[in-house]
Amino acid sequence: MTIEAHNLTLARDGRTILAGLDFTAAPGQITVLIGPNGSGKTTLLSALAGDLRPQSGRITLGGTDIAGLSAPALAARRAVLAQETQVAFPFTVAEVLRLGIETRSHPSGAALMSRLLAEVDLHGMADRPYHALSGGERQRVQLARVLAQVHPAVTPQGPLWLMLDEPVSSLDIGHQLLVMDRARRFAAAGGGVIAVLHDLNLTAMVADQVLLLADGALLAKGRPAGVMTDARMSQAYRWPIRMNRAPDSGPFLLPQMAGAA
Amino acid sequence: MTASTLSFAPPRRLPPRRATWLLLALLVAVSALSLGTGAAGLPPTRLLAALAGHAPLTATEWLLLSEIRLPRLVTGLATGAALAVAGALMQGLFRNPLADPGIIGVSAGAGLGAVLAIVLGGLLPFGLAATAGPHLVPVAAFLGGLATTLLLARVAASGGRTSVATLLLAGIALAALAGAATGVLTFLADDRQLRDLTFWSMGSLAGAGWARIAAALPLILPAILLSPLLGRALNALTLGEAQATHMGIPVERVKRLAILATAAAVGAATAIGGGIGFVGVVVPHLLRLATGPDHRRLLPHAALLGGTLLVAADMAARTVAAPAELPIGIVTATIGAPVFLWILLRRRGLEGL
Repeated sequence: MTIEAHNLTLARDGRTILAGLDFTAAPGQITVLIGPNGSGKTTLLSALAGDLRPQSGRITLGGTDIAGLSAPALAARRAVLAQETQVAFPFTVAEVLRLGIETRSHPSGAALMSRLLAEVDLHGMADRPYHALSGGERQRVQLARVLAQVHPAVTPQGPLWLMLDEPVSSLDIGHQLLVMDRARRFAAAGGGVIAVLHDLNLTAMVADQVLLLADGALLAKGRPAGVMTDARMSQAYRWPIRMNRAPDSGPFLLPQMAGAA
Repeated sequence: MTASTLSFAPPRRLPPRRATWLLLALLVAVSALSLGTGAAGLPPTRLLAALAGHAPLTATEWLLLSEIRLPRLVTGLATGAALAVAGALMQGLFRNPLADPGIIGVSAGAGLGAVLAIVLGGLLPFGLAATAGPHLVPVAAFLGGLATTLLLARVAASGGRTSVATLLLAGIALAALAGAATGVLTFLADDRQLRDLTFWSMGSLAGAGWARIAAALPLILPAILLSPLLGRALNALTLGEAQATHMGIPVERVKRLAILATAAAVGAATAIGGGIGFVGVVVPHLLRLATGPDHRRLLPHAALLGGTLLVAADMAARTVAAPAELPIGIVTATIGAPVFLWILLRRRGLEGL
């Protein structure tokens, strides 16, 4: 039940954004998309979510072309966390969360709700008005909502998928780690995670597979240690970059070292 | 610290079921009062006595009740319910609490359709006007409202987002255009048509009759009864079109249905009540304050409160300057416009504006 891209090409307004991408994302793993601004990460995630139709090539989910799946069918297989979600009416945290819970007929919605709120460190906030929350709190409410949509991580129809577009962009370091830990546990439970991340250190830490995009092309794919090399990163980000290695850990990046190569 | 404590307090809301019973009770009470109010003498006490079997109604009194007050009550309930539900639908669709059929030009479009039918209906070939009979004006208003709503959705939405500023500005332009066309038509109208038009453009339930009701209800009832089915989808749309799609909502179909229901409700309401504004913005707003923004409750509650409020406004219109009658549109605007401004003040700092 993998997600596969076959020669994926996508253009918008006559401009090619993704050119001939081939890769496989496996359930049980965290696949992270990295690359400079405008390299096509968000577009790729939208295509994988089924929002954008490729000009050529295809995306398959468990062998089925997702272009043929309806919105409800896709919603039953994957949830998507957007970069930013505005709520137009004065909903409470619980009401926003319930939108996610209602996408599936969970037998114990109330229990799931309080558990999910605790998991994103928003315990006891159910009755707060959503618009009174801080940006980071809102982001975590939305994470809880999409987690409800893909709970449990594996169904009789197969593993479910969590797609995250910059899930930690407005979070402090503690909550960044909390969110990535939650994604890790979702993958450990058998689900698949595909995330766009800007933080390369976080990527090196959590990714099972890294897809390095530059100018719409897939520059490299594989384990972080193999993909995030000095040469490839410098080429992708068009700046001399030196990767470093912490003891007993994957590669990391010190912004202070950028340009010193 | 007081301010932040206040803003973080959980919203105080009525339990939905209790709200439904309250609204129903209010509807019955206001309806009963309305039946007993009017220029001719038939006070509520007289009605109560008749109901209790003490003194049966005379033939004249019965005629007054069944041919004047009852159709007027039903027209008020149907018009108010239709406008309030249409308002709630548009607000959900455009993700903004200020989208009112009157403010963004849908009522003007429906009005133009109705005026076209009143003035030029006789020119239709093949005796269409005679065949359509009382249905001609509601159907024309529905088509006018539909065309306006479709145009608005087209102009204001781009890339899955609806720009509120564009929406309101497009509404102003459309209302101006419809107003100009209506103005041209008034020049073509004869004296009788002109009197119809003038009174009708300010909104009035005075012409209420069973024939008009029968022509409008086939448009209003399905819109009101079926709209709660869109509740969950509209709730999901609150987060945005992309997010709703990700949650499995067939967004394009929902938008088409909401536009169709809005046009039907506004068209029919405009055809029987004329230019009545602000019901669609005031009613859903009050309900959101009382019971929260969940559309599954908001839409049926809006029908109840919308009908009640319009009947109450009609009573005011009949009694303030008695024995003369104010156009009801003046009453709703007098109450509604300040509420609209109040919403603007309160919503500063909230998203979506």
